[in-house]
Amino acid sequence: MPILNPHPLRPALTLLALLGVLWALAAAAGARPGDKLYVKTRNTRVLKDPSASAAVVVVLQPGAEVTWQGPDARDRRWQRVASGKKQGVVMTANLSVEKPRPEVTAATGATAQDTSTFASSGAASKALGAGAIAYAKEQKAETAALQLLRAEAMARTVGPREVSEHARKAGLHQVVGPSAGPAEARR
Amino acid sequence: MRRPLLVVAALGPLTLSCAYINASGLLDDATSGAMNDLALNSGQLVAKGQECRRLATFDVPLGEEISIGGAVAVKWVSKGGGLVMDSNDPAAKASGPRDQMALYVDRVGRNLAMQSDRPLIEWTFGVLESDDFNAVSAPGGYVLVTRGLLRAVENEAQLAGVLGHEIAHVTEKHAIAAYRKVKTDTCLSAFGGMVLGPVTEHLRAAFDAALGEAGAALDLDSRENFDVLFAFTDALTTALDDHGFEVEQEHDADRIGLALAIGAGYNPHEYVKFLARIPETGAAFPHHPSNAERQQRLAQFIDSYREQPELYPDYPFQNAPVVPLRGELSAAAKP
Repeated sequence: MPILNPHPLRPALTLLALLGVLWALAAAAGARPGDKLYVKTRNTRVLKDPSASAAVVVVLQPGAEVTWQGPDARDRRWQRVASGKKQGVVMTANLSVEKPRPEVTAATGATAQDTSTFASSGAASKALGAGAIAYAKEQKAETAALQLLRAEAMARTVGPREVSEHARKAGLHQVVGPSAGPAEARR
Repeated sequence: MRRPLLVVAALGPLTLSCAYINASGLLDDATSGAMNDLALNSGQLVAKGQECRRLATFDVPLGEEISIGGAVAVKWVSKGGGLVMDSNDPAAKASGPRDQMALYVDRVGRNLAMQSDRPLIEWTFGVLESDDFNAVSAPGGYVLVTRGLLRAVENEAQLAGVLGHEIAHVTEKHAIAAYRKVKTDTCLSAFGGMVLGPVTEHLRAAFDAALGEAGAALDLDSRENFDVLFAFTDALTTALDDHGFEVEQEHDADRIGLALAIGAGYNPHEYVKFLARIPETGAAFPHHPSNAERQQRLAQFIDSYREQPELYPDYPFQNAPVVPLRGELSAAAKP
């Protein structure tokens, strides 16, 4: 379904598309108020009111479970959610009906069950490895390896804060919050 | 580093004939003798073949994905004429207009990637020097667009659609599916006797070790496995060059990428419009479905949003922002 998550019915949807039935049936299987939903984006800000400048109640990370209370009456692009005892609104794009697939972090097939486990495992860190650099030498493409190393270093300067600011300036939804904590987010 | 020599590929992946073939009598006695030493009896081969096929069912751990993805990215950057940047020194800070262009693409891409199904991996976006009209991705989070494609992009909404499409190939692990097939086929070839020389012994040892573990992972960044990584990378990039992704995978990438753009707030109709600009002859996206079919599928996809107006009151998104391109992209037009 295309709404809160494009994936959960993908195999069925492929078949439906082939049959020309399209998305109507998938949409009918959408979430309902009271359902548990999952946060899918980095630094999801639960705000007090449906405005990007509203006070931050709490910042949640991918995989966090919330209770969906339905669209906000003042602006239906925002969804009312409860996270424990905290309540507020998030953007529709912050939510998914399906729990995010965990990354496989180990040779044993083990997965990081939550964001903090994944982040602290070091598995999220990407840098061109020794094998790729050796491959570049073997291909006589050392410059390509150097450029990728630099591209990775430059990419690390583009974090949630820069992304959020870019969205704000472009007039887009600020789906990704600038930081992982509400106090910092208000700066 | 000595490379594996694939002698008779036709007998490799799916047949488990243990017969070695001395191709046209070109092999000397010493090589033939070494081949005999490598031979397994048919019973062992059948057992190994079954084990090799298990490789197609295992998830590839992120570390291995990043290793193969990095090597594939090296290949794409090399083929694409290098990356647009002001310095090749990895320690140099971003400075000139070429760096600013790369950072602009990075900001647009990472905004989408952080909203994707893999928001926590480290994504790298880059601009290839090539004047061809193309965009590619590699496992582990590498997304590259050519300068030729950027010249055709009219606004940020169109760029977001292109980047979203490539992000989706990574989140859906389309190249990893092809990689698992490469692993399986190479394993079958190694035990099927179609690879010669010391590399074969090493491949067998590496696969033996991997199959002995639950996840069958290979440490491709360890020096002793470089030859394995090289063989995998060559096979994977050749497969992707020759065959691309499956047609339905391309439609999936279109749909998931456009969903990312819609979620971020872009006008989705701009990407549908942009698809008409893709050259349908020549080297650009030779394995993609036709532009018209992609446009038709995406128009239907956008229509599906009307089914939940309580969640998407902006439907049909005609007034969603297209976002003018920032000045940083002007460097794309310069030779």
